[in-house]
Amino acid sequence: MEKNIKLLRVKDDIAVDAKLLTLTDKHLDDFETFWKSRLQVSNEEDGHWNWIKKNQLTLLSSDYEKYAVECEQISQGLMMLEVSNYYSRNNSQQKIVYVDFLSTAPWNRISLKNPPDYKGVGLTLLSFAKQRSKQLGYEGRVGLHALPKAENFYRKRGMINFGIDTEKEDLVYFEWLKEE
Amino acid sequence: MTDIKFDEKWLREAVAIEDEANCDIHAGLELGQNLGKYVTNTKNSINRQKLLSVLEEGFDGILSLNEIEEMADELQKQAQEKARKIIQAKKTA
Repeated sequence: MEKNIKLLRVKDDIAVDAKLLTLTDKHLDDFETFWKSRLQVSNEEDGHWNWIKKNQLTLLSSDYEKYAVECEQISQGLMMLEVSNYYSRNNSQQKIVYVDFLSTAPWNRISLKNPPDYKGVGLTLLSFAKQRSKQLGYEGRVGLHALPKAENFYRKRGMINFGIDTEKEDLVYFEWLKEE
Repeated sequence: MTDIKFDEKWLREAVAIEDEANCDIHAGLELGQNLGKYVTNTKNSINRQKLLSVLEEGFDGILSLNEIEEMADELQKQAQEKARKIIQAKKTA
């Protein structure tokens, strides 16, 4: 899968060409080379995530889809979706796309670099998850556990707050219900 | 069903939404900062990364990532509860 998208290059306020594509070894190499050390020394909530290990663990399963946003030959965002085994908290008969992991490159985070290099990465990935949900016949239903700093964003995007999930590290669970 | 057209118009609207929220966008389990708080509820916490490594090695290809993390959660809870009881017992001894 490869899809043409745009990202906002902040330094000159220009919408530049980018791609949303299936995760490859190149993106994992970018994570290892450019992301990992910067995140590990930060206080970021996902600072210890290891995308290489996450990929290895799910390599043989068709339940997972993994994507990257690439711009100027560098990975700008990564996302892992679970597309087969999750059901809506609102209606346990209805399948959803579950966002297992979503994160943006260190230089695209206002918490680490303000202004960031590129804007639009996070919402592009999340909107694509919603699109996948529609393509799969799940009518736009998407669920996720928000990292605390991002809760405000999901609230503002109209996702339903199902409260703290004590089974999932006390993270707040959000869900987009069927799109009207 | 119409696919989203990720063009400049869409991007500008998306950036306005991101700016309004004024936060970075991330999602997923296996926390960093909060995990520490979660794991260290008792004085005797166990290292989640080591636990995950052991489980991954033992159940590689058998359990999904989520199932391994759920198992780690459950084992940690049991270990914490046991540690809490031991500490409590020693305090009252």
